[in-house]
Amino acid sequence: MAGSIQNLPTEDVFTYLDSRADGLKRAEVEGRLQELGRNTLEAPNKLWWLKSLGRQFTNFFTILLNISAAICFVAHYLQPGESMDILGFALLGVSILNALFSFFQEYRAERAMEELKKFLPQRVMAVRAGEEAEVPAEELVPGDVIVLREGDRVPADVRLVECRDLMVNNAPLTGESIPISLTADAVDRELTESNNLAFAGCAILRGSGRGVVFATGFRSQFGRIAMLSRDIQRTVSPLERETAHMVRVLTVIAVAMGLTFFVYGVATGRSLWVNLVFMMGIIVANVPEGLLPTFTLSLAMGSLRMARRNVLVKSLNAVEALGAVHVICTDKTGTLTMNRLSVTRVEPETSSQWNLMEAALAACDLDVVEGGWSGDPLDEAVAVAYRDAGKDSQAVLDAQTTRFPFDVEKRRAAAVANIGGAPAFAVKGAWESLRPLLAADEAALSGADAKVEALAADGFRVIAVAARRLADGEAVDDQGAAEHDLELAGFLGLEDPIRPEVPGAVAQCHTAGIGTIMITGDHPVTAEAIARQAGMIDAAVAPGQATLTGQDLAKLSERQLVGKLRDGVRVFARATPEQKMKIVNALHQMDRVVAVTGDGVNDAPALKAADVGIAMGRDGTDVAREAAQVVLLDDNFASIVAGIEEGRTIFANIQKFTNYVLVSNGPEILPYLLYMLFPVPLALTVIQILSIDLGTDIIPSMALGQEKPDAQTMQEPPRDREQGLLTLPLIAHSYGFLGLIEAAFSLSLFFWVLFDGGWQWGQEMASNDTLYRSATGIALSSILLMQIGNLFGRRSRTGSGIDMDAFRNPLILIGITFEAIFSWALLYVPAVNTVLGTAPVDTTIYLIAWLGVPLIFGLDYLRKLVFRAIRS
Amino acid sequence: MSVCLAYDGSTNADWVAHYAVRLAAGHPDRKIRILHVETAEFPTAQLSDKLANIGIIAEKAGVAAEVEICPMRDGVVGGLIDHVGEDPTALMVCGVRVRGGRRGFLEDTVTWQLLRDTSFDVVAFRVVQPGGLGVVRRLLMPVAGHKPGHRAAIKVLELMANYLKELRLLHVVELPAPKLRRLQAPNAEALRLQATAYLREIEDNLRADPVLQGVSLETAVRISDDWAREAIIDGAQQHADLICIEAARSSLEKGFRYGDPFETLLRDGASDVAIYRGGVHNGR
Repeated sequence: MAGSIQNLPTEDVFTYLDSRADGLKRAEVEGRLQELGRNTLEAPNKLWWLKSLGRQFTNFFTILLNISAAICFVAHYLQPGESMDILGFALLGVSILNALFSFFQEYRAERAMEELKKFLPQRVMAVRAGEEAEVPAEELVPGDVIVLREGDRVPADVRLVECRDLMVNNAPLTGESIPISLTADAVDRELTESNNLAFAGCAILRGSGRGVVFATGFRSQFGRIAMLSRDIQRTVSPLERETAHMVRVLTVIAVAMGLTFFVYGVATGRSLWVNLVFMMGIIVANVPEGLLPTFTLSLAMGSLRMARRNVLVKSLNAVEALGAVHVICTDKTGTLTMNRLSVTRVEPETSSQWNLMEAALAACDLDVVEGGWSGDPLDEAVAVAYRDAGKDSQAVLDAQTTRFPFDVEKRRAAAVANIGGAPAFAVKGAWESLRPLLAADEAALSGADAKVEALAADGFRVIAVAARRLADGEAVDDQGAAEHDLELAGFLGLEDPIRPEVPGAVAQCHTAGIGTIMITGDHPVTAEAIARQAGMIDAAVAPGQATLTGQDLAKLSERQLVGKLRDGVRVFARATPEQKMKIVNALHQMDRVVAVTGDGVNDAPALKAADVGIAMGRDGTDVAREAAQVVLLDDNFASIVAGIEEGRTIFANIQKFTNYVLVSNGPEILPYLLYMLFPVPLALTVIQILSIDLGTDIIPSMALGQEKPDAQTMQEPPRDREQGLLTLPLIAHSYGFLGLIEAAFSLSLFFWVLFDGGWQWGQEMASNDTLYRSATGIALSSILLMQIGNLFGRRSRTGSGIDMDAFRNPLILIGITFEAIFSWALLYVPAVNTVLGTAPVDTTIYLIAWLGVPLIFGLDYLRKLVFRAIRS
Repeated sequence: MSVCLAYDGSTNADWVAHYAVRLAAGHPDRKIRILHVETAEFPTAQLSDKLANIGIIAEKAGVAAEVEICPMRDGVVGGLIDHVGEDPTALMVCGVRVRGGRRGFLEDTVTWQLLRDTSFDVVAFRVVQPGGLGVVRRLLMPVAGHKPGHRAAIKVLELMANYLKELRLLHVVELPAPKLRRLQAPNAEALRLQATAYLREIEDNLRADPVLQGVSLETAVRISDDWAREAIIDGAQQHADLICIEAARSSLEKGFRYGDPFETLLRDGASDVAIYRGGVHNGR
C-alpha cells in the first residue's frame, strides 16, 4: 500500500499536502478554493429544475395536446360561438397538469441530496496562519489543518496528525455503527479501511485530535456517495417506456390521418375552415385525451392500496415497476429476519463447572432502564434469556464489581462478578479471540473448534464464554493481565429468527417467476443458513455453492459476475452496500428488472440505480428513504411481494382500461371519415368527442383501474419486457371489432333520426338545425350506453365479466349510473343540450339505443366463447 | 526515455508533480526533468522552496530530480518544445488550467498546445484528489470506438505499473437520447456484444504486455447518451484514483468548449483525470 496518504509517516503529511502544522495562509486557501471549489455537495447546475420542467413540456404527448389547443384557439378566433375556446382551455389544462405532475415527481428526488448535506457540519475549528479559529466548513481546502472534538461531524476527508483517544462512527460510509479507534500513525491498509483517516460525514464519538484535509466536497468518500446518488439516472420504468410508445403510435396515427384528410379536403375544394375543423376533429378523435390522466389516477389509487399493505410508494411509476420486477435483491437483517437477537442454543446445556448463562450474563455491559436493559443487543438477548429461564438477571448484573466493555479490536468483553456465589472473572466474545486465553490442551480446543463450526453451520452467531475463579483478595484492574488460565464455560448460539411469513413470500416469488438474492454483511454460513430457511436456496444445492463473499465478488469482473448469477449464486455474504451496485449492473446486463432494498446512507446509489429502490421505513436512514421510490413501512420482505402483486394487478388493469378507452375511438373517428368521403353531416362534433374522452369514460376507466388481483396474478412469470401496452391484438380488438360495432350502431341511429326527420341524402345541414342536433345527440347517447356493455366485457379476458365483484366495486356502479344518466341528460336537459349542441329525440329511439348495451356485450362474449373453443 | 514535468510554480503544478515523480519512478532510469519557463508571474527565484519540496518528494520515491530553466521562445510552449526537441522517448507531464469556468480547462492553454504538438508524448493531469499523491492503484480507461493510440497508452500504463492493481477499460456505446429511450432489449444486447468484442481486442493486447502482468484487468460496457457522465459515475463507483483518456486528434483540432465531454470529465469528475496523446513517433 506504500505511497498513499495513509501510508505516510505523520511528519511527511504536511510536505506531501503542501501544508504546515500552523495551517495554510489566507492566500493559499483562496488559491485552492479557486482550483478545487468549495467543500459542499451543491448541485453544479442550479437551474437543473428548469431543464426538468422544460423536458416535461416538450414530450410528444404534451406537444400534441398543446398543438390541438392552439388549433382550437385559432378556430375560435376565425369563427367564434362554436365553444372552441373552451375546448382549447380543456386541452391546455390536461397538458399542464400532466407536465406539472411529472415535474414534481422528479423534483422530489433531489431531496436525497438535502438529506446528505445534513451529515456535513456548517462550521469547523481550523488552524490557519498559526491561529485556531472557527471557519465555515464550506471553505475548507486540501491542506487545511482542522481540529476534531467529541460530538463533531467530520467536514472533509482528513489524515490525522494528532490523536487523543479518538473514536469515530463510520456508519454513513460503511453502514455499520461500530465505534472505531483512530490513530495518527501510518498504516498499511486500503484507504477506506485505514484508521488514521477520518471521513467526511462521520461522527466523532470520543476524544480529540488534529488532521490535514486531503479531499473535499464531491471528491471525499462521502461526496462520492452523494455524487452517485445525484448523477445515476433512474432507469426508465417499463410503464414510462410503454406509455411513451403508445402515445407515439397514437400520435402518428392521429396526425397522419388528420393531415391526409386535410390535404384531401383542400384538393376536393372544401373551405379551409371546414378542413381545419375536420383535421382537428380527427386528431382529437384519435387521441384518448383522458387516458394519461386516468393512468395517473389509477397509479395514485394503486399507491394508496399499497400503503395499506405497508408499501409506501413515492414515485407513481414505481407502482407498476414493482409488478414488472424479475429479481429482488434484499438485505437480511430486519427484512428477512426479525432483527431481534435471541439465545436459542446453549452448549453444553449443563455443566458441573460453570453455569454457562450466569457466566455469560456476568460479562455483559448493561444498564437498567424502564422496562428492561439498555446496551448491546447481544447482551440484552443474554439477560432476557436468563430471565425467561426464571432466574434473576438483575441480581447477576448487580453483583458485577468491575466491567470491561466490549473492545472492537479484542472482540470480547469481560467483568468481575459473583458467579455461583463466589468471585470470578468472566469473559465472553468471539471464539477466535478467547481460544488463545484458555487453559486447555489441544484435543479439548479441537473439540471446541468442531462445536463452533457445527453451530455456525446451523446459522447461529456463536459466542464463547470463559471464566476463572479469583483468588481471595485478587483485584482485577487490568483486563489483559487478568486474561489467563481461563476455563471454557461453553458456547451460546444466538440467532436473529427468520420472519414467519418470509418462506411463504419467497415461495410465492418463485411461483411468480421472481428471483430472490440476499446481499448481507453477515458471515457466509449464517447468511446461507437463513437463505435456506427462507427457501431462497434449493435444498438440493450443495453448501456454499450458491454463496459468494464480498471478497470473491470484488475479484470478479461484471461479465464473470453475470456468469455466477446464471450459475445460481443467490447469497452475497460479507458484502458491502457499495457492491450492491455491481450486482445491480450485472443483473441489468442480463436484462432483468431489479428491485433492491437498502437502509444506510451508502445504499443510496444502489437504490437509485435499481429499477425499483426500496428503503426501510422503520430502521432506514432519511437518505435511503429519500433516494428510494418505495418505502417499506414494516421493513418486511413479505410486504415487497404484496407490492409486486399490486403492481402486476395495476398493469393488468391499465391494459383493461386502455382497451376500454380505445373502443370509443372507433365511433369517434368513423363519422369524420364519412363526412369527408360522402355528402353527409358530421355525426359527432369535437366537443361531443371530448365529453366522452374527458368526461364519461373517466370514471369507468378508474373503476377498471380498481379491479382486484385475480388468482392468476402471482401464478404467471413476469410479463415480457417487449410486451407493450398497445399490442396489435389490442388495437384490432378495440378499433376493428368493438369500435366498429359501436360506430355501426350509433351511426345507424344517427341516420335513422335524420331520415325520420325528412333529411335527404346529400342535403347540407346547419349546426343549429334541431334535426341535426337530435341526430348527433342520439349518436353520442348510444355510444355512452354501449360503453356500459364494453365496461363489463373488459373486466375479464375470457369470462363474461359479470360477477358479484362487479357490484362490489363502487366506481363501476358510479360509472354506469353516470353514463346512463348522462345519455339521457344530453338529450333531454336543455342546459346540456346547449353546451353539447344536442336536442331531444323520440323516447322510443332513446330506448332502442339501450339495446346497444346487450348488443356489444353479447357479441364480445360470443367472440370470447369462440376463442375459448378454438383454444381448447 | 525522460519524464519531463512542465512546471509553472502553481500549487496545481505541485500536485501534478506527484504524478510526474511516480511516473518517473516507474522507469528504470528513475529520473525526472523539471522544466520551468521563467515568466513574470512565477520568477525562478521565488520557486526555490517549491522546487526543493519536489526534490524531497522525488528523493523519497528514489527518483533523481533535475531542474532546468528554459528560455521563452514564442511563449512558454515554444520554450518547452524547443528545450526538449523532437524526442520520441520523452513524456511531457503537465497540468490543465486550474479553473474551468466559461473558458474551460483546456482551450488556449499551454497544455492544449502541447497536446496538439506531435514532437513527443504528452499527458495532462487535472488533480482533484491531492491526497492521492499521484499513486494510481485503480485506473479507469474509457475507450472510444476506434483503436486507441496503443503505444502511447501502453507507455503511460507501463510507467504506472509499479502501483497499478486494477485497470478497468470502459466502453460507452453512445446513442442519441431519443434513440436510447426507445432501445429494445435485443438491440441493446447486440450493441453490448459488439462493444465487448472490441474491448476484448484491447484487453488481449494489454494482457500480452509483460509489464502489466500483475495488473487485474476488467472491462465494462455501458449504453448511454453521455459518455463523460458514465465515465464519471463509473470512476466514482469503482473508486478509481485516475481516469485516463486519450485525446483524439479531431477533438484537439476542433477545440474544447464548455459543454465538451472532456470538459465535463475535467469539471465534474470525483477522480483525478489524465488526458494523454502520443507523439508522432508513438502511435500518432
